[in-house]
Amino acid sequence: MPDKPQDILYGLNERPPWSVVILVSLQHIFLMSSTLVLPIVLIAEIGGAFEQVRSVVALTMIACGLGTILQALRCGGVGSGFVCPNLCGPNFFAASMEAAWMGGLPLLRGMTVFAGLVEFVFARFVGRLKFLFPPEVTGLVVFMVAIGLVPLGLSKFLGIEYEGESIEPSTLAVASTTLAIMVGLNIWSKKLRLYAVLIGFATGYGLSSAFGLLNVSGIRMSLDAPWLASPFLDGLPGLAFDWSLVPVFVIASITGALKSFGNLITSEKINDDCWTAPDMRRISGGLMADAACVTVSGLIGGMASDTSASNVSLTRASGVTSRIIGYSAGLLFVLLGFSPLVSGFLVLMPSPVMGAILLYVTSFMMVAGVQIIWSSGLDMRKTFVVSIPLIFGLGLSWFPSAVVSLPVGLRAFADSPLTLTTVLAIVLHQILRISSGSKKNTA
Amino acid sequence: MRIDCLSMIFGLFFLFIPFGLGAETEIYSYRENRELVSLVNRAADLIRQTGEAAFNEFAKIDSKWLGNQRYLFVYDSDGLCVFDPVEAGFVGRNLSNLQDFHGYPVVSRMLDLFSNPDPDAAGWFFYLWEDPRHSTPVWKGAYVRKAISPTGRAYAVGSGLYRVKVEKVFVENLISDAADLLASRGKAVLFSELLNPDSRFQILDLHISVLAGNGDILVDPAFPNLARKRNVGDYTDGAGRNFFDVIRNSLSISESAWSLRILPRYSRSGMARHLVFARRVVQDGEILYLTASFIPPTPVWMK
Repeated sequence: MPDKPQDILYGLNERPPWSVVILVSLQHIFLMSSTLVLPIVLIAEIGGAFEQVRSVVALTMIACGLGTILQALRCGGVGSGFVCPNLCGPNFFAASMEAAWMGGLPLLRGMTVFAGLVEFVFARFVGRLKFLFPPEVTGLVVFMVAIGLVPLGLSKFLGIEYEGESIEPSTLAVASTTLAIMVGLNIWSKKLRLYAVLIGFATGYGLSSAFGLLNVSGIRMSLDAPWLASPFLDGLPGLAFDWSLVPVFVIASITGALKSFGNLITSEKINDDCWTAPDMRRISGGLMADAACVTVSGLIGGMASDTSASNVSLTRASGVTSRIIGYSAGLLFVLLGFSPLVSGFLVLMPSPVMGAILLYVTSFMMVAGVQIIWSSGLDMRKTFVVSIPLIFGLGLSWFPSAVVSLPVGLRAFADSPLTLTTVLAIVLHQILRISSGSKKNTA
Repeated sequence: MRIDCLSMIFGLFFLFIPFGLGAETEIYSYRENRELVSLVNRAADLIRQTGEAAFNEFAKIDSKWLGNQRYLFVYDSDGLCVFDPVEAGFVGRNLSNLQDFHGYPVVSRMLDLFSNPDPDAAGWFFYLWEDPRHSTPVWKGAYVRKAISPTGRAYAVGSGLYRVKVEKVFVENLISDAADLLASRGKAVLFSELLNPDSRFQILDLHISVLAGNGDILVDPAFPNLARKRNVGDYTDGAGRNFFDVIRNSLSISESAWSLRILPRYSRSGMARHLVFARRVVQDGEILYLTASFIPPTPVWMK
């Protein structure tokens, strides 16, 4: 890895002071907690009891923590050596929900393990698949991952949870203030930039409390919870498998892997100003770690995860990319999985805080995607490889009902804007390569 | 300096946490239902503190109490309407016989709150009422709370919502009321009430079915005139599960439980699902399952 870029305060191999390690790790943990709402919604959807919700959330935290450590380690062909933590992947949500609906927790576990194994295979052969993922395609994937965070982020930011609701002024006020503080600290304060997310969190929680936006009954319930407890309920649910869910989980797994692919490329770019092409061995190791995390999560009874675009963006925003942060954030997340009291507070993150954080990190992710696309030197062919899948991917958000008119076999490819864009970009890139010759038409 | 920074951040973090509000409304998914409950609770508090003077506050247009299709109504324990800024003709009249489009005695049901010794007794009431914007009867849900003024006079203060959206707690209360009726009046009365489309057990597109311990359908308001006896013991849902087994197993460990039922794919628009609430009751030595279901809300970001 070359010298650290100018805007990085503590590089990959540097050891920051302990106070920095602790505060920056805490920021990563808060970010990693921002999608813990997904297992909560999932278990509530299948009528699960509070204990089940708590258990699945805690087990997911443990798996994500282990994955984060593994990712930062880079040994034996596993891990990338980057701070690229895992969190509940929104791209797995629809597939996990379908599995939970069809066969409850046993089928969710079984299919999550299957998704992990699929990613192992993908990671093993990703070097040979390099021709499928030129910078314009990977940049587009990164950009669409950011777009995928917008519905959740904006919904929480505006306080709109269900269709037909209007903007909630107090939520908008708290979210705007939280976002403004984080953006302001990044731009105008070099010292506090390190802790922008943590200060944003603290302010957001305080304002949420003042505006009555905290989940008080949830907090009371958390206060009653013990400091330390095993997250495993009596008897793990069995493992089940359903062939009909294979396509949707393969797609979710590959999409998750591509998202991680994009995150790892972003990490490379953050740590190397002179980045020109992905280091496929490193990326393969990163995907192996991601696959191990998903598999472990399924085995112990958590929800599938993937690497976090938000946290990668945070490494850039804070200027701290030291892998020690990966170890400490991962370890803390594992420990919090064993503390129902503390993890309960993280799970109860107020909507405006979650919204502000998600929009903050989405901003970095979007620009990272655009930068990767731009770095490829856009010509006429690449213009279409980027723009046509983007049009259809975004179009899917506006016309979601169009999917139902597709043949069943194709529907899985249009499962989400990210999946559709990725598949179209890969296919189009291969088609437009034909006889493209050496002429370069600059757009 | 760093320790100061740390203290500042954690100080900010925990400073305001004890001041959070709104625990009583957190059981509701929809914000409009939460806001309605919160409005009525605050109105009851104001009556408790200031007595009848609170009605002057409630009448102020474009205040937090009145405006934007939001208003409060107040009845005394005899059914006398003492405040209603929208139906001015109601004020000063005893409306204990007021009925909705189905003949449901709206006000007299609200007056049941006064027989509850709890000074904060409250509840939801559902009735078919004319939507003034469309001149058609629609389901209206009202949240009503008891409030005792400093003079000792008891009032029922409430507010309503047209086209109120179904919450889990509505379904749970419905089943609970049915179980109470079964315990107090027996099977014949309950079954007759459940099948009566004008009864309080058929509201907001909800109804209660009764299953016997072997899966026989004893009451199915969705098909009230079906002569053929049906058994759901072998029925599977859209996910291939024996749904009766799912209910029976969940009720073997608790008296009541929620389960998810996947409906068969009638269209190609994906899976439809219902949340089913079931309660096991034993009547004269016979096990009965009371069940009701609804389509759970889907957050905008999940679509």
